[in-house]
Amino acid sequence: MLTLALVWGILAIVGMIVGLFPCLGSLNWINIPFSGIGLVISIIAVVTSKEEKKGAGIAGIVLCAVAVGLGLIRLLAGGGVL
Amino acid sequence: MDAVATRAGSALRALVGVWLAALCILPQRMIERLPQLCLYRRWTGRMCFGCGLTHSVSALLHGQISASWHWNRLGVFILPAALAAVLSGMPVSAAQVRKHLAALEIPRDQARCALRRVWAVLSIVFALVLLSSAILPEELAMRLAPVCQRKAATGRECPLCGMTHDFLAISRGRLRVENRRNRASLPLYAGMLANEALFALNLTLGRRLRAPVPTGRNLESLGRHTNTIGETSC
Repeated sequence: MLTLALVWGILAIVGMIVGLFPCLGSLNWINIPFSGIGLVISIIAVVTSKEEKKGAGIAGIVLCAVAVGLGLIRLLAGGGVL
Repeated sequence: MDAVATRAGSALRALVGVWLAALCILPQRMIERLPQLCLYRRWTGRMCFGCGLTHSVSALLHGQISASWHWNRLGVFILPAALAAVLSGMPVSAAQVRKHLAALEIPRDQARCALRRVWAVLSIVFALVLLSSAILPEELAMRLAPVCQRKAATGRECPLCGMTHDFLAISRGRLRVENRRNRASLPLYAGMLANEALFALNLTLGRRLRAPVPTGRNLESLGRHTNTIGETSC
């Protein structure tokens, strides 16, 4: 579950970076919900995990949160389309 | 690396300082004559959330709070943040970033496993793109491809315009330069293809290298066998 959170976070960041390209801002309409789901999964992973080292889950939370935040800014900057 | 990060931070702080000093010294009428820098506004004619920020900060520095609020409400928050950045010496060094990453204590095999899975997902996406450009009829692919919003709004092409056309042409062996509409399409196509080849090679070679030992004579070999299976599952 922790690894899944990390994988989800990295994919969310990759999607966000692709969404930063000109004219690809509308990709954030998909990437923000995707990152939101990743954020929920990461939080669940961190809360339910019995492992001592929860770094991967925390990294997943941070990456998904960054993807949501910057994705929203990018979406606003592009007027939701560009 | 640390020195570079510190220098970059200092340079950024200096730039913000110069920007604030210029806005403080220059009269507001002069700022109004400056050229329009916002690309979004140039392309679409609409204002983005950052438009009017320079005017807003300038008005605030000249004591005109209501004018600042009128230009852009973010200016009221940006000015204190910029001042704090200039005065506090905020550069985040590479060592600090490394320290935070080390504090996360992500096990190396877990991180490697995660990166391998991300690579697998991206390779599947690339494979789908390449396959669809090779298999789908050209007319259908062109109809399914999204219309460039910038081209639709302004008539001008964006850096990605022509990629679908070029991918379809390249996958059908039409590699002539005059057929191409975007210079970046061939390197991108080649890069995606190289990634697929690398991924396939990694998959087959990795499986062969990690293949389970056929004869499990003792417990040690059995242990090695389970270990191998554990690694392969990643």
